[in-house]
Amino acid sequence: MQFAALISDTYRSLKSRGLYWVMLWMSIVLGVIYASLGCNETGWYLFFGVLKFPSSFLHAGTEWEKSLLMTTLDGLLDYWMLTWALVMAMFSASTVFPDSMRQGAIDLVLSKPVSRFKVFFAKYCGAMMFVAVQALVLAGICFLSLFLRLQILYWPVFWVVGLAVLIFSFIFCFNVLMGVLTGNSMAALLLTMLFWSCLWLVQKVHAASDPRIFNQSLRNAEQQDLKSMTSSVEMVHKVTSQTLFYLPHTQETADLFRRFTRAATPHTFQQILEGNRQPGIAPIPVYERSILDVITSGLVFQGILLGLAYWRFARRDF
Amino acid sequence: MDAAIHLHSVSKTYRTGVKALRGLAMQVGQGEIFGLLGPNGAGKSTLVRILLRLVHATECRGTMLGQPIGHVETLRRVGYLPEHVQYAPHLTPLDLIDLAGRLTGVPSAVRIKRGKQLLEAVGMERWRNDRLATFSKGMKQRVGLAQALINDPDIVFLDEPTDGVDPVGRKDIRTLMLDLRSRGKTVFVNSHLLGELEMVCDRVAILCRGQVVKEGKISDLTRQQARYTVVVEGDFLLQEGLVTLAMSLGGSVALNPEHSHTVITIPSGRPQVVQPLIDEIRKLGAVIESVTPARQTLEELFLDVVLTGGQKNAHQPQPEAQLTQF
Repeated sequence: MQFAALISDTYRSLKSRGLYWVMLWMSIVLGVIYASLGCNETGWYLFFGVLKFPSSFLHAGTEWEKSLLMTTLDGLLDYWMLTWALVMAMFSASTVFPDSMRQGAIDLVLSKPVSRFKVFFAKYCGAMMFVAVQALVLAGICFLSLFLRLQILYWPVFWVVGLAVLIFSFIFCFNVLMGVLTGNSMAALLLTMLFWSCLWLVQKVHAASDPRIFNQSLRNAEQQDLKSMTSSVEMVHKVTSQTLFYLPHTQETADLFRRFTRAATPHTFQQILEGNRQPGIAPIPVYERSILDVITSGLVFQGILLGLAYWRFARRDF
Repeated sequence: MDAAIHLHSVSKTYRTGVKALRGLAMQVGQGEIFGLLGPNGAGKSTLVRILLRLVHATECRGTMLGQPIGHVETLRRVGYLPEHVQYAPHLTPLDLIDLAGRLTGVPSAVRIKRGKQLLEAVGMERWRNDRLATFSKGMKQRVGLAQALINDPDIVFLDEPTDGVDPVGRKDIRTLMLDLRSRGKTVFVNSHLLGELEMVCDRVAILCRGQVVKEGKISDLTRQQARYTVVVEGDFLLQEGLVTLAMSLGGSVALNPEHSHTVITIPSGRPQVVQPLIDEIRKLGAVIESVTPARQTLEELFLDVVLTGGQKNAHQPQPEAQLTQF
């Protein structure tokens, strides 16, 4: 009863903030826009037929219709739910620990027969629940849309809920540590955003410096230039690789959704519009790490940071 | 006296090196209203927070409700109203009470019923569904008191319970405290409003620099400082017999500012002690304007203890008017 009460209190506290509803409404609006996408006998349309785009091959009942819906779904969930919605969620959730640790607020909870571990863990889970609910709403709308359009029960869409929670937790653990150390939600948020930006940058540099991708993009360069550039890029790749060994792989975790649903999304949006049947996404497996490695490294990072944060929380005098 | 709280030695040294409590020892009886007094920084809040596990003690030997301090399950029988209570803005009084009840393991049906009764008792029934964020400080205190009592605790810790509360609300809170005592509950009050404490407390302890410097029943503590003031018409400052007698009783003789009355103060609360003095005044044919028994107030006791750092036990009575000391 205590644990449920604490989780529900944290969730309600997040729900009472305006940003919760902004996020939820944006998810609903995007979900509805996705639901409004479809094909008929003459082409494809948006907003339930308000905007029509004639096509010679993209018709209702064709393989292209499925590709259109699946690829759009992939983009929507990746760019919105696994990226920007999580940034917004961080703005809301960064207040959870600093606010609840204020004198006069923490007293009401810790003076009750409840362990500090339970309080800490419940607050953390409450923030995860916040993200899970948001992702579930969007996934639910998308699932329903696919069922109505294609008459398929596409269960893998719900992977996004787990992945959103996972990615959020990788970053939120840093926020919790900063919140517990500083006791200030604004400081914790700014430091988290700085960390997230650096992490994003390192991952981008790491991905761009991947020899398989880099060499492909420099096919036409002079042999001499290519040699010297390749060695520098390899060095950068090595450094970022070593750095990322200790950090969570948020980008690769987000990519897991694509890995789980790759069979359903063989084409890019551009290819669908052009009627190009060549497989578009991930023609060769460019993923360096296994799924287990991607998840485990993030969980280990999270475990260490949460352990430090809890250690401070448990020893602190309120 | 059955002890609800029995502390043998409690010490707390903060990481900054500040010694908040230095081997504090005290006892709080079951079914009494106990007041904890002390100047700012004396360690009152630290002590309460140690008892409630909010602060880790450097040393803590003692029991609360028969269990070692820090025993989690004991807190099921404890209620607490913090000093600067801060509520989440989304909560209503009923939400807050429900949360407090759930955390202390109160069954749902009891929470609902008792929650309404408590809000009524603290005069907040009308606002039970309003957001706490819109409440004044006094209203928040009342709601805080209600949440502290949802588990029908055996000990209630109240940190400045009447702070910001209007006179009617204060009376309600006093009534509630007396009601708790009548039901055998222990009330531990930490307040700066000494007049309020004097009205309800059975016993008090005065903390100074992390130690208890006075502890006992208010009546006993202030009786030690009782005195008689005899005011006589005219100037008798040079009456040797009278002055010698007053001084032999440990008193003092002085004139009021207008030099129209002689004021004799005897540091004793026993009327028998004053009789020879009255006989002597009568012999002089002087007119006795008043013989006033006076007991030290809790505030006077507090100030005396705090200003002397708890070193002085006996209070040296001072005449109330500005006097020329003999």
